[in-house]
Amino acid sequence: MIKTESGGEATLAALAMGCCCSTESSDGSDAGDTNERTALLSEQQRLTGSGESGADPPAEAAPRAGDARARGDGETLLDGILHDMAASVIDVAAVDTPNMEQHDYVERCRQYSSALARLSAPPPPALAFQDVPPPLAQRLLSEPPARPDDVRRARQTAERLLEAVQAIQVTPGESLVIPFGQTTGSEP
Amino acid sequence: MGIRRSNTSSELTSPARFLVDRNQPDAKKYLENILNGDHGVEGIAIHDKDGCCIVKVSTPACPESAMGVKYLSAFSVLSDQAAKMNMEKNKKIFHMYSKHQVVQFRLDPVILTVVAAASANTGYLSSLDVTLEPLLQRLQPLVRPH
Repeated sequence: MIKTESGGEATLAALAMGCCCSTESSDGSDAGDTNERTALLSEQQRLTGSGESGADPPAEAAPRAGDARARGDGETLLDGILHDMAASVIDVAAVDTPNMEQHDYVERCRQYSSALARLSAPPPPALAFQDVPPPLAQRLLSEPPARPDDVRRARQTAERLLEAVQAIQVTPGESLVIPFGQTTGSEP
Repeated sequence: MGIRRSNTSSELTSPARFLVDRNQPDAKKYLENILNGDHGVEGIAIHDKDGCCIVKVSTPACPESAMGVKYLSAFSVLSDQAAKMNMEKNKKIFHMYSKHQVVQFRLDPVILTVVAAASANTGYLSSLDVTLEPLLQRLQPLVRPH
């Protein structure tokens, strides 16, 4: 028991909880009401030590199981408290911690630059039409024009091809869309 | 040195046309336009939380340390620590120095860092995330969570 300035007494268990305040009566934690001053470990558990729950003899399994469960709950609660404290602590020294290796940094920068280049690249040229360079254009325009028979035959062939393409039809043998349920709206 | 200063603000093209305008085919030239806009901006870097730059432009007046990996990567840690102040998530951090000022924006998963002269208009710098929003939206998919 430790004497405090106000004259009260504080138990080691209360101090372990992080509370340095004293209470006039230290019996509140034993009354069954759990508060911030309630000890995580009971007196019996502190005296017997933190033994492994798996090594208990079968004859004493019933009372020891309850102690092990209480120990597990206490450890879980303690882990939760530690986790919350670690998440809320402001650690300024963490700024100086190096995060990446040099080769990882170079590799990632290379990936970003290639992705940015793809993003900024001009659209690919259209395959159907291409600009003819001026010397070739001059030579093509200076040649004699095509004969009218050739032009007529090419136009007839193109018309017959167009009719054949337009005559293509799809005749499904069975329903291609099986409705699983009611669908509203249009598909993307 | 290659960076032309312009006295007219008309050269600042619309943010939505930075990839469509034939005169400015890429993001780097668009950011260089902002450097030339006589706002005191000395450097702009768009990077991930580890300090790897996606695109970075700077003038000779920009200190090299402000564009380095160590300085850029510190923002993510500072921002995470600042989020523990019970004021929700951290969005921007302003660093004021005697000769420069640095504004960093947290736009997960990218981070925007703007370095400017100490005499630059901080209000203009704080609105650059809105100005560069179309560019940032195009660059955000490039950053995968590492």
